Amino acid sequence: MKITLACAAGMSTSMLVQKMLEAAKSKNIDVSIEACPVSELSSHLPTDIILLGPQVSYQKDNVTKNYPEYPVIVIDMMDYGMMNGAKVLDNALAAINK
Amino acid sequence: MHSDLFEGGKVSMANNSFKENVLPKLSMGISKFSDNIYVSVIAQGMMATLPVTLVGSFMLILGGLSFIPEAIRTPLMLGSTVCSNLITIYVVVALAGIMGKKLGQNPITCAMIALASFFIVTPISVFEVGEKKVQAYSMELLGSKGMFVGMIISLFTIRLYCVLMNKRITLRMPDSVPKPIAANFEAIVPGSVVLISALLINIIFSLTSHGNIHQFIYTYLQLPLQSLGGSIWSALLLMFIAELLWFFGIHGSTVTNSILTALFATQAYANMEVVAAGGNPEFPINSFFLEVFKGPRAMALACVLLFICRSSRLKTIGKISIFPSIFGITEPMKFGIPMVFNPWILVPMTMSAVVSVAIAYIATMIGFLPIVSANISRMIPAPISGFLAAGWQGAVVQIIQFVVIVLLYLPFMKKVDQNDLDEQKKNGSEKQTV
Repeated sequence: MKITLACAAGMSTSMLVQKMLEAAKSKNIDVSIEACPVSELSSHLPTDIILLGPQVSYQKDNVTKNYPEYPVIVIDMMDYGMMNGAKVLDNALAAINK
Repeated sequence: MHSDLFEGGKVSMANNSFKENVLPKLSMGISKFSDNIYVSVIAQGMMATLPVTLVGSFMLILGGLSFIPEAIRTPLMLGSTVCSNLITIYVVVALAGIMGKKLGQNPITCAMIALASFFIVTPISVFEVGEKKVQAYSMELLGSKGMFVGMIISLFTIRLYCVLMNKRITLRMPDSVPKPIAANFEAIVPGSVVLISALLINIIFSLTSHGNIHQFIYTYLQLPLQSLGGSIWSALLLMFIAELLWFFGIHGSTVTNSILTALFATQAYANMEVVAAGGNPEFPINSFFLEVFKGPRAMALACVLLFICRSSRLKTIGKISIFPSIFGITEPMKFGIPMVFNPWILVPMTMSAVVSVAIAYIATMIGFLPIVSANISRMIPAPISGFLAAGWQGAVVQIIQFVVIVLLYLPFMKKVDQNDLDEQKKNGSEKQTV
């Protein structure tokens, strides 16, 4: 299973990726998680879900249009700010299994 | 907690309709600008030249130290000259490669075509070296003075090339020709159309009084932009807009960086060239200066959160943010406090960069802060970056900025902190009564 996070430069998102990987490890979930700038999304596909950082939420329509085969969700602002990796991971998994 | 700031009746209604109706349109407009291919290629292309300009800058700084022996200084200065005086070459290659990649073409072919086009429109002069006559390009036009031409040529030649390639206006090879070989032939027609266009530009401008496109662009675009746009006021305005966009949840600097480049990059490289040649830089406001002296805002705010705020939630954000903030990463605070849509923090957030740049500018004007002419990575924290860019005075200015930013945030953050504490108390007492 693979989760791809996209933000403006891929920098702060990679902090969140760390937290998500820790959460996945403690729950024994086998998942690969990557962060990248929105502009480079195409080279990080295929994936199971695309998560957008809140600062690029306005790109959601664009991304959904360009990659209709993947589910796209925007990370909640508070979860992002608090670097709540476990919750972001749960939301992503729930969206994949839907 | 950001939503309850507007709680009650009309205010909340107005806020909701603003969030639902105005904001998406605003965001779309801004994203149209920042997603525009030329704007995004310029922003990413300038980032791509960083390895060269950073190394060149460090050679410049090292070479400028008084205790460095002459035998080491000479090669260091050569290094920084090659990195700064040929900046336009690197810009042409970077922009063309990124543009080509975005439009689905081979980036190396694109870089070559753009570079060849640039050299076609750049005048070759004949110099006398001793007895010999030497044909050469003047380094002047390959550095900051030619940067606008380089950008324009790079963007438009590759756009043209990609249009021709994507419309398949090209030599079609029979299917029996192996693909890699056919690909080379396919580039011939579009490539020659582009290069012939460059030759035409060369001819057209040679018929005018300007003689070449460089003189024309320099006189009618670069100079006016530098003198009109490149003032302290436009710098302050850009700083303000970048943070204001953050209020709307949009990564501001990705939007403003390409404008910043257009207005302030040539001055920065001009400074670097002059210093590498042993002269004195002349442009105090340039992109390197703005990068270093935007102020240690992230660090200052993280310290306020961690050491002054009493709410456990804000303290936690401070803990999360303190280390990344050293490297200027602010997202946890932007979304965690949150600063986005939070009217309490609007004033210090938009003013901290403005005030910081103003402080540094005044320090330059009174002759305290030397003019910045080296590119310091924004990953290097203050006050080290200030020290590298402008000596101990640079470090002092950054420390002053830090204190001023803390003072600027303090009254506003105290209010946010109090709101948070009240809420915690309320939630706590509710739990007890239940």
